[in-house]
Amino acid sequence: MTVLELTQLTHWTMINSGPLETPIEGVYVGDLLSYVMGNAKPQQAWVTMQTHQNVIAIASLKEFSVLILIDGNSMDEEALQSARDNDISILVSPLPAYETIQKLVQLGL
Amino acid sequence: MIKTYDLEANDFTAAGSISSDIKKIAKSYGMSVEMIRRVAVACYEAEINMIIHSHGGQIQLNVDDDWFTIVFRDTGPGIEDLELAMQPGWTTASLDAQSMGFGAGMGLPNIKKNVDTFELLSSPKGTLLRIGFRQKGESV
Repeated sequence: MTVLELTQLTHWTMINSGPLETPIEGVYVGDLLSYVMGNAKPQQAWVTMQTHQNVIAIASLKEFSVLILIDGNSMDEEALQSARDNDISILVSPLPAYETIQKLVQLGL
Repeated sequence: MIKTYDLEANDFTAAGSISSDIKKIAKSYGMSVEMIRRVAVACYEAEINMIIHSHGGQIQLNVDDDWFTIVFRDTGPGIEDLELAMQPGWTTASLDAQSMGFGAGMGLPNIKKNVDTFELLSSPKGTLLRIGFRQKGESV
């Protein structure tokens, strides 16, 4: 599944758009950044409740396909600018973490 | 090739920018994708450690035919117990840093896991972390 397909299937809001044809190779869920750095794999979708600017640095360094924020959370302008600079796709799920992940599982991720 | 970066303490907004630059340089040297990823993880963790815990300092990248070496040198306050600091899950990060997802106590273990050489020296005057990646071969 590509980032574009996930966006179309979930109808979640895309607050920044990176390369939409990037394939998504699984999902990593985590809010402790060192666990994300140490354990997540490139091209995964990263589901997190963290919304500060440093999340973008991690998404870029780890080469995630898409960042998924939960609970309808958004990012401040500085973080969004950083996402634009780094070409990071960001989706906002209106659902809490558990339901967000349920949805991703239902879609086959 | 030698490149030096200055790093300010507590500058969370810039955190990761030096690691990104070093990752780009690693790419430009034709390193394998796997090695570039290891460099990125180790650098990021060390950069964040300096931002969270130190009074600031310098990061120096040194590339020669055989080694890709990065030295993180700060001006204190030092790591009180190096053995504890290497223990997964142990942290001295502030609650503020922890609420942002930093300070999981996995930084130094993550660095050690991803490098070919690891040297950590510390006193109240400062900490020096030297990590190296062999340019040829995938030994980790």
